[in-house]
Amino acid sequence: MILLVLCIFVISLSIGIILIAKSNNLRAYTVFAVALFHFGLSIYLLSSHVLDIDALSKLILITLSILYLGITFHGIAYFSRCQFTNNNKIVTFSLIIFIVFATLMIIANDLISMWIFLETASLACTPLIYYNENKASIEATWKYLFLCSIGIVLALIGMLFISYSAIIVGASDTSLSFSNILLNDKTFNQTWLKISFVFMFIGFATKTGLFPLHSWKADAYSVEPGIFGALMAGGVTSISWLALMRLIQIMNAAGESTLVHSVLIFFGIISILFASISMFNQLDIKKILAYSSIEHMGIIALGLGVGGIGIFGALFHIFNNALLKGGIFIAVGNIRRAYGQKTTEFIRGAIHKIPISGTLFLVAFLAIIGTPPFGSFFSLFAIIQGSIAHSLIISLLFLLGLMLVFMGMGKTIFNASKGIPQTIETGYKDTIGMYLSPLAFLCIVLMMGLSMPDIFKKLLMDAVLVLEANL
Amino acid sequence: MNASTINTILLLVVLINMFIMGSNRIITAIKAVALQGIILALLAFFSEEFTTKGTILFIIIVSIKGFIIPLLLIHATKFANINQEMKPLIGYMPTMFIDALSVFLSFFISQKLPLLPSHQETIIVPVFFATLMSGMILIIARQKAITQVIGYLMMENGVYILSSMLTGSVTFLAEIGVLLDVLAGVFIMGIMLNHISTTFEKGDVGKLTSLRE
Repeated sequence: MILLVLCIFVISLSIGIILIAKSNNLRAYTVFAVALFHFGLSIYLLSSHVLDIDALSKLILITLSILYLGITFHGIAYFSRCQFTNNNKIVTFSLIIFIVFATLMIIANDLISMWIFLETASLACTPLIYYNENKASIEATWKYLFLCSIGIVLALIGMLFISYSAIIVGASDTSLSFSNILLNDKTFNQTWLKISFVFMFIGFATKTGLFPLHSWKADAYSVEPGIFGALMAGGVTSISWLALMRLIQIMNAAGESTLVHSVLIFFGIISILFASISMFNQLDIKKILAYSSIEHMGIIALGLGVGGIGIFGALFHIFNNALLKGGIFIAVGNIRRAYGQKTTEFIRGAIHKIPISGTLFLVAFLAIIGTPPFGSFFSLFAIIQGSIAHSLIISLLFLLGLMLVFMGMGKTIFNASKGIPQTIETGYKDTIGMYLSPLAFLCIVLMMGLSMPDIFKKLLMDAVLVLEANL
Repeated sequence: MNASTINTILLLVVLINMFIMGSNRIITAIKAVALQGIILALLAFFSEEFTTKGTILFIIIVSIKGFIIPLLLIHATKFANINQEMKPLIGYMPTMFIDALSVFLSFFISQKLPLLPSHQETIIVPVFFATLMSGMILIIARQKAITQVIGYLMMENGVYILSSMLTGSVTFLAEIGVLLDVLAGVFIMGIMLNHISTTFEKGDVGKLTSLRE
């Protein structure tokens, strides 16, 4: 109870400061303070049993919290030193709304409230895409707003179908709380459950950005500033995966796991292959990262689909992907600011021009494609193992996709890092505030690879058990 | 309320769908969607027993769907100076024909689905599918950004049929939460409409083509 009052106090205080503050700096510091509070709150929720949340929620909560802390720390430097700074009242307000509703969504224990909070959190991201206020950002914002709204309406319909599948067999409890559904949905009407799976999968896959429903992603990530790209590619996708994993849990409990797994494998493979093909000859380095995000969504879907050790890999990969995407988007933002452009026609020799951000960019790329000893190597390796155990053709397609990604993405990124920089003077200089967050993200992923803390390993194992229950 | 009255009113909802497909003025379409929302709210209100919560919910739904959202959209069209014409990608007649086909299809689908006996004698399920599909058809068949918002609202009306009449398991707070999310979404869309029409000519989504893969 005291905790709830404290949370409401912090939220209203921060929103109040943001609304009346006159300087961009003060607002950026306020968001950072909220992030610190959120980090403390997450640690407290993870270690105590105040709320009855399971390991899946805990994993996503800590991932989001670390990412948000890093991003808002970068925000302090970004909002004060960036040469294109607009008034940040609306975006800082959206950042607060986002973290509040994302957290509520993670701890929600029934489907409809999860839907409401997810929808609000994703609506709160709209001003972030529109931050630069130009033609391209209008277009990207409209695409994002519209596709996600339609997608999430379909998810709501799917949820209501679950409720109908309970009504039709005369179940005594037709509420949509997770405990009720997981306990009873074996007895629910299977036809309606399958229809609801289709609707909910389409809805949440739109938000994660799996292949046929990805079209908002490349645009949104390429027009928004790197710092918000980091939040969306790392945070929004993670909470959408939580929603999808809840769906997987529900279908497993209903005994329909074969259907779910084949759908996940199919969408995973086509996302990986599509992204790897789209990366060729792509000059825009932010678009490359957007396709990389689609690819990694595919990898996670594949890992969850093949089962076995793949589930462990997928869960670990959600964590790694969030931090690595966070890091690389911030580094790309710095590079873009140093050159004033975002295509490799202009960006050359980033390592020479801005040594620290350039190096971080290259190292983050190596971590993303799964170079040992980063944590992402181990998560990818676990997913490959899982897929080999599942079927040979799928693992071959997967490896082919990974190879194409290495070639396509590597070409653009090496082009951007190597060479002799053109003499474009934008006045941007690397400062510690600008590169500390990506450095910290990379260090965390590296640490996870070198020696995973026992407490984190236990969290991952518990989360795997949650997903494997009723299998 | 007996089954035949419910069916008559639901037929009216389908007719409104057809009317929106055929109308060529944007304000008419916005008003028609609002009317559809009010009719559905009335239907849900009178088909259930009288409770205080139900009444409050009814008042909130009617005021949001019937007045706030349409006024917001009409204001947005006037403010952004959007031309009243719909600008169809697919002509009015073909759209109505496709919509009629979708009604036929939704009756066909509903025949195949397992339903409660009380839902078999009414046409709630086919009307839900028909409204959902009409919303999607409108989104595809018209070119302007605002017509996409109207299509989204039609889909939302379809969801309301499902949540209030078919399942009834959605709690009071959840229903209001969903509604507020829709309101927030339409509000943001209204702001974006304004930006689209000041930057691009007359809110035409066909002009949103500079970003390609």
